[in-house]
Order: sequence, then C-alpha cells, then structure tokens
Amino acid sequence: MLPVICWMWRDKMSDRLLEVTDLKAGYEDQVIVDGVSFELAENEVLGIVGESGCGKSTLLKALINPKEYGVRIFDGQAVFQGRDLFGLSDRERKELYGKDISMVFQNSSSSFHPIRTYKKQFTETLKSHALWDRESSIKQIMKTLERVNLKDRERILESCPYELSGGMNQRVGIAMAILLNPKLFLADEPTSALDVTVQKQIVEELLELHHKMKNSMILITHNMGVAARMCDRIAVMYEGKIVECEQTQILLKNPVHPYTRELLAAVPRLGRWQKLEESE
Amino acid sequence: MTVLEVKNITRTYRKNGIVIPALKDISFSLEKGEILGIVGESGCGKSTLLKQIAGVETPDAGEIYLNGAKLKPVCRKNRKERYRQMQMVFQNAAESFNPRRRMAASMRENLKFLSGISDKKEQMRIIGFYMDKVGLKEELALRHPGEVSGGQCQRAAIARAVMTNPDLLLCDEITSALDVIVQDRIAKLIRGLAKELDIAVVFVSHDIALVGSLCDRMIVMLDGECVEQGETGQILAAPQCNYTKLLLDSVLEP
Repeated sequence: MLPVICWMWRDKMSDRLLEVTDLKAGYEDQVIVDGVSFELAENEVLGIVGESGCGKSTLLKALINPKEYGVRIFDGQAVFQGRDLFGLSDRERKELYGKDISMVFQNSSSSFHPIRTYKKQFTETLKSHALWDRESSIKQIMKTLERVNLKDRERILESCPYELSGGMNQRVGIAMAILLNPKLFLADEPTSALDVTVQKQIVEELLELHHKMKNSMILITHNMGVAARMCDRIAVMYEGKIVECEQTQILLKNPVHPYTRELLAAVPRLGRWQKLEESE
Repeated sequence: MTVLEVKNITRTYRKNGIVIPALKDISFSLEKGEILGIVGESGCGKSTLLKQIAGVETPDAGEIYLNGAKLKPVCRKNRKERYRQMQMVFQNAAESFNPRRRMAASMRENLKFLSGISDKKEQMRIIGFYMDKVGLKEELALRHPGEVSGGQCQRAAIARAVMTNPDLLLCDEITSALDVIVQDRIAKLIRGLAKELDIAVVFVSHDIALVGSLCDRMIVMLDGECVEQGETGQILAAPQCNYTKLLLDSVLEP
C-alpha cells in the first residue's frame, strides 16, 4: 500500500505550481520568516498551522504583496509557474493577482469598500482585468455567488458589506476570490471570526469548491481541526520555521516534532477531563 | 452547598421602539466547587446572562440568589460585600488592569478593599502565594500589563480574582484570545483551582469542545433561551435538542 501512496504523491509533486525556497522575510531588521521552503502541487491543499507570532501571516503577506504590507524580503525565492513572484513589476503583479492568484482573509467585510454595493465592487474586479462584458458578466457573478451557496443573490448584489452578516460576507469574499477561476487560492484564517456552525459550513463549502474547481490552496489557520478536515498536507510553523511538513493523516497519527505533539495534545476534545478523572 | 441560584430571569432591551428579548426565563443553580459551562453562538445572550449575575445590569423579572441572599442592584453600600463573594475574569485581561500601574498595585487594591489587608508585607506574601498557584513567578506581578504575554496576563487576572477567596468566579470567554496550547493550560488551571479552592465557576464560551472538556455541567443557549442543560457527559453522549446536536456536529477534531 505504502509504495502506491508514495508514487501517487510523487506524481502529484511533478506538476509544481508554487515553489518557495529558503524564504527569509520580516519587518525592517527583524527576521520573522526564517528560511522557509515548501512546494505546492496542482490541485493540492497545503495547510500552514502555528500559533500567533510564528510568522504564518507574514509568509502569506510576502507571497501576496511584500511592498504593500511593508514586508521585507531578505533572501529566498518564490516561483509561481516559472515566474519569480518577488521580481514582478507593479503592472505584472496587478495582472497576475486576482486572476491567477487570489486571496481571502479573516474578515472579508473589511477588505471590501464599506459603502459601495457588492455589484459595483464585483464589476470593478472584472473591469480591472478587462473581462467586463455587459451581457454575460452579471450572469457570471450570479453563478459565482450560487457556487458559495448564497441565496437571495440579487439583494446581496445591491447591498453593502455592513448590511450582511459575518458568514454571508465571508461567502461573498470567497465568491470574489474565485470569480476569475484562480489557479492558486490563498486563505488566511478564513473561518476564525465565525461561529462554529457557520465555520463548519464554510469549511465544507470551501472543500466542495476545491473539488469542483481543481485549484491549489494554501490555508493558514491556527485551528488544527479545520486544517485536518481540509488539507492534503500540513506544515507546522514554529518561530518562523517549518518544523514539520507531512501528509495530513501521517502527521496526525505520528507527529514527530515535540511542538507538533504539544499542539495536537492541546486541542480541546469533548469529555477529555471526565475520561482522565475516571481513569485516575 | 448552593452558591448561586438563578430563578426565571428575563431581560429585554428596548431601542427605538424595537423590543429585543435577550434572556428568556433562564433558571439554574450552582454548587460549590462546580464548573458550569454556558455555551452558545454570538448573540445568544451568554454575556447578558453574566452581566445580570455580576450586577452590572438588573433583570426585568426573576431573582438571583448568591449564598442564599437575594441579589440587589450594586450600589456603594453593597458592592464590597458583593465582590468579596464574586469575582470576574474577562476575555482581554490586559484591559482589565490599569496599563500605567504594575499588576501588583491592582492586586493590592483588591486585597485592601475586599479582604481588609493593608499591611504591604502581608499583601505581597499573599500575591506571591497566588502567583505561584497560577504558575507564574512572583516578580511578574511587578511588571506592567503591557510587559507580559497574553497568557501570563490572563493568569495574573485569575490570580487577582481568586486572591480574595470568592465563592463564585465568572469567566467570560477567557481563553478566546489565546493560542490553543495556552488555552489548554488555562483551562486546566481553572479546573484545578475550582476543585482545590472549592470555588463555583461560571465558564462562558462559544467553544463547545472546550466547555465539553472542562465543565461538570453545561447550559446550551440559543437566542436568549436555554435549550438544554444537564451533566456534560450526558449531553455529549445523548443530546436531546437539535441545536445541541448541530453544535456538536460542527466541532472539527483533528
């Protein structure tokens, strides 16, 4: 059984979408991400887990737009389909991001314009990539909203971010991110601000979307449960380094690094104390 | 011995002619050394419930009994007595300390006001004892709240709360801003303290997995109503209400 898995895995790795080698990034003189290397295959979901301050968001910011976030790249490379992400001009970056690479953040409502209707904002995205078409575009937007299980789509398009609930805003944010069928989808804590029931729904919807669209995804989260449900591989980050990167099932069963073990042991499990006290 | 008894409390907010029922007919009681978890999603009224018990607000109907005595609205005369019996810990511990003063100053204030201990040496001895109990070094109390980590600050806040030997401890989402490893330690600490010092704890959280792993009994709230309450083990094994089932189904365990 094992050789088969290895073979499948290697086969998957052969079509690399993103390759990050020895990335060192941080703010001013401070190194936050300290020599991170990983590869992302096509149609793969990679989870990056870790605690606050471990550098997972800085890593993502470095991949998205270092200049805008004030992230300094000290060393290393990030190659997306043969293109060096750190060597892009502003114009190339604008073309690439949104279309081939898209992002969704923890709080989608704050990444939209607060007092503009969603219709205008979706239109703007299409127009900026010169894909606006008077007849078909609204249909395309409606179809995307349908994909993230939003009902009452016409009303949503006419509303502003503050008029919708957190879960709905997050769905619209995801819809905006998948509007142009990106090859790489970067998600930074997409479910952390939501209630548990909504979190579960969004996780399932993201998974379904992933299966339909066959894109690659990097999911950053502090929630081991979410990572375990969604990811093919999980990378554990600690103090700016990836301490362990393994396929999800293997990592959960046999965590090697002590930090990974501690992290897994700390996840609250229903009725654990009661069981402990009974056994004592 | 029953520490807290809540009988049919109801609270309604009125704003611009719109009536928002925040709590509908909630009743429960709490014994010494027992941890009661209150779980529900945002907007279900769990913080409102805690506000009624803490005396920040007064319920529209119903009574709350603390150690057998009926609670009246907090005023200057009774607040000393009230907060000797009950203490609170909040989500953002750093904000519950004065940012310009050392944490020990806030703890000494508590000791002086509530326990009537004004000798500085004695105060520092008690602070040292309880800092040790929550797993912190005594010297950390001499720092400002901005100079320690979130987890350390939360521990200091817990130390300050249990320092005056309260009967009841109210915890409002105390681990929500913390990382899982720290959350795990704080949860263990709360459980240890409750059993050791015989304090009744009301533990409010949105995380049913955490409540399910920590509390003896739990209450599930939805839209201001208590939809299920009972022993944690029983609820986890056989949830009666559909909403509880939904919450339990939503827990993602690795």
